[in-house]
Amino acid sequence: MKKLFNLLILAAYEFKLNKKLFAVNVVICGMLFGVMLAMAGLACNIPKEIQDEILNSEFGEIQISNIDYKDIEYITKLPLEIEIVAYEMDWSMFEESLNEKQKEINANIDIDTSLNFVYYFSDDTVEISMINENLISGEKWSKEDNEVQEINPLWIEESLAQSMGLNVGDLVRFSNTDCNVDFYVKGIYRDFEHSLAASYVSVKLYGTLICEQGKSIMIRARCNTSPYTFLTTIHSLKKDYFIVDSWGNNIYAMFLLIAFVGICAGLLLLITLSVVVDFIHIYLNLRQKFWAINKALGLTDDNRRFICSFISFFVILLSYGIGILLSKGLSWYFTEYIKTLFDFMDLSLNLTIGQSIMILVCSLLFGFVILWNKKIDINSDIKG
Amino acid sequence: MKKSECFHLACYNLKTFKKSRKQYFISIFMVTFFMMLFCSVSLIIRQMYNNIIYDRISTNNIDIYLSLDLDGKEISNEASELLHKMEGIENVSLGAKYSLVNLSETEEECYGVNIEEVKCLINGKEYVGEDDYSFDFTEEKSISKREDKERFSVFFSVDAVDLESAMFTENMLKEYQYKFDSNMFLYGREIQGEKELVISDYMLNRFGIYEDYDSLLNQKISFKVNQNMVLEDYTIVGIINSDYFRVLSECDRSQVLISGTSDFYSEFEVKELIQKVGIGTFADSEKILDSIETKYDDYYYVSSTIYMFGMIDKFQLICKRVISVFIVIIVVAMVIKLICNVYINRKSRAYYYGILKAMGMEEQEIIRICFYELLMILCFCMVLAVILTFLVLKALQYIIEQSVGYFIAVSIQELVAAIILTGGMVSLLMIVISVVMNVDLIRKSIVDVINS
Repeated sequence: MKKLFNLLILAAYEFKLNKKLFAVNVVICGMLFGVMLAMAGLACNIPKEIQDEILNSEFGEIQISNIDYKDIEYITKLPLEIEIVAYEMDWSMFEESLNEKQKEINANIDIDTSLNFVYYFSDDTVEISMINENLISGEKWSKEDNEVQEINPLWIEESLAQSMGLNVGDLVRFSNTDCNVDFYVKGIYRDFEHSLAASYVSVKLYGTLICEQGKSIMIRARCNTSPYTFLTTIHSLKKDYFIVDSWGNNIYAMFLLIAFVGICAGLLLLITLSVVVDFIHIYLNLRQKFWAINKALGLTDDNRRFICSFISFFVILLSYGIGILLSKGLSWYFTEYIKTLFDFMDLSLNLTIGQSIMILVCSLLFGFVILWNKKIDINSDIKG
Repeated sequence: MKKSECFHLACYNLKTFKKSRKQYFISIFMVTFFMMLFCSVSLIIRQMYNNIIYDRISTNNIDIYLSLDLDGKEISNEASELLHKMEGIENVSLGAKYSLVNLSETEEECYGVNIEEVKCLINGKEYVGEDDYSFDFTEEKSISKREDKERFSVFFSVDAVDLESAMFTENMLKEYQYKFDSNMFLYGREIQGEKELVISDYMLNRFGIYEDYDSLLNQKISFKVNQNMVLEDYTIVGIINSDYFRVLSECDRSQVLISGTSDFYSEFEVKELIQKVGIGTFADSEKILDSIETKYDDYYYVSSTIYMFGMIDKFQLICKRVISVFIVIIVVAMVIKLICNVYINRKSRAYYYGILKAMGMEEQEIIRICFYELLMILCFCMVLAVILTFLVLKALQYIIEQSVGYFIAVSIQELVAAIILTGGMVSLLMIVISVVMNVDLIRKSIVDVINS
């Protein structure tokens, strides 16, 4: 214990004696740490800030040709909130089964508000909850309705039901050359925004109808977990399906940015530590005679390493402190830039205390490992 | 001492002073490797962003519909005038669709006439259009099911290109160059005068013309749809590579382009012109759209990709900012590191230089030996750094591909650019620092050299 104390005293003495050298070292490493911490802050905080921007937007369209029942089952299990949108399927497909009145209505409806079958997987999507909230008569949509039944449930908008003369419980058969589908009107809902003339059917029925029509469907995915999950899911889907993933590109672009900034921060950490080691080396070169005499007096290599490690710990700690201050300035610069770019009101790219401590501990550990393994042979230097 | 002898001595020094040189070598290697890794990653990231953006850059247009009066003159449009005052506008392409649908005998065609109804006359020789269900410009080939006649039949339609504007926007050409780098774009020239026509090779093929395009240039061409002459005596001035119509914003465009003038619009009752306003970047487009008042919404059309790719552009801008900050800091750090190492090396080699000087060697010869040593170390470091950088990039590529499924293309060109850039920079820095620090030492007297 006494020996340890003596070594610490010696290290402090050496630090004081070579304060100019170590001051230069602290300033340089502080600057490097500052940039590194600002970059680490950028890499850590970009996803959480920009993720909201991306999450609020619809992204990823999966175009699946010749979809079959298994695909629907597979897609329902994906860890994404998915909705299927039918572009090519409307009531006109079942023209031959419509009566004159229905044909007349169909003819009067323009393309934008065509009688689409729209279909959703889960009950927490906005549209499904809106149907349930706006239900005038009949029963609410429930998860069981997703199963294919002999006679399928159908929710229909009020004015459409009136014009077609349909009431809750009425049976409707749609048929064409490919298939016959029997429905019963399970619910009539009041019109709400964006749902003009849409009729809601179960996902599996929709899949079946699509299969028999031999068409493609568009699946939109909204990421409700993390961007990483979205990317990996898209990756697994890409193996079997053709995916139009333009919003996936955005997440990928963000991923590239984070990876790049992360690599830069990692490189800076290594550079900073190697600069610390270089300065220790210069210090040992300057104090060659002193260390040679100490060695002759019985100071072991391990003792010397301990003192060097202690000095470098102290240098790292001091430069880290300067780095944190400098990083605030640089983070502010990046924050202002990104705020203007993305029109953010609030944005913080500063690292949390936990993250800062973690980086410091990593730096100290790295520094220790590098110095401990470094063979600084004083004798050979003297010989040289 | 001859140059070759100096070189041999430098080699001998490197061999015998292995231990003291190790530290020096490792430091130079680290500097080279870090710089090289940073340069290659930056270049690759830039390439990746460009790949994403250039894949759809042609959609970075704002389309404005300009109404025409009975004389075929444009009716002034506030949205268009406002747009032209904005910053970021690159160039404008103006054109119109010449509708032939009313000439079709069949009812189901919606945007053109089936090519079977069209006859082409070149210098009096008649070529009849042949439909072959091969049209795949608007659909991916891999998902096409060819039995759908409505989707895959070859349709014939004509677009007019206004003589006062560009035929293609910069963005369209950028996407074409990115996607079909090696292919020639236009054989002949663009439309510049009245009664001129540019046709795609695909459209010529549909009329049974497969070769000798050279002889077609400057020939007169006419088209008949069901015995009605629709275009008469136009001069073929260019044959366009049909791959151009695989560019996203152009896949719906007619593959026969003719000169558009007020007289033409008036004669063929063209109601409106489509003005494609090309904008530099997606981020610029977003800014422009934000600043255009919503009351002009009905006058223009934009692709939804503008908003999607606007964000990617912003990520790229952040990346550029990070690179610019990082470049400054890494160069400063590397210079400091090199100075430290040259200083340590100088200290350990001072005794040796003193002995060489005492043995009668001239300053120039000692400097030459130092230079050769440095050159050899630099070469060796460079080779090792190239190998290690390549391995690290391959590992990164593998990790990213396995984890998120995106392929990072490590192109040889990028790697070579990074090597040249880094190699040049490190060598220059190292040589300058070494020469400045060592020459100062060597020029001292023998005693001073040995003492230092």
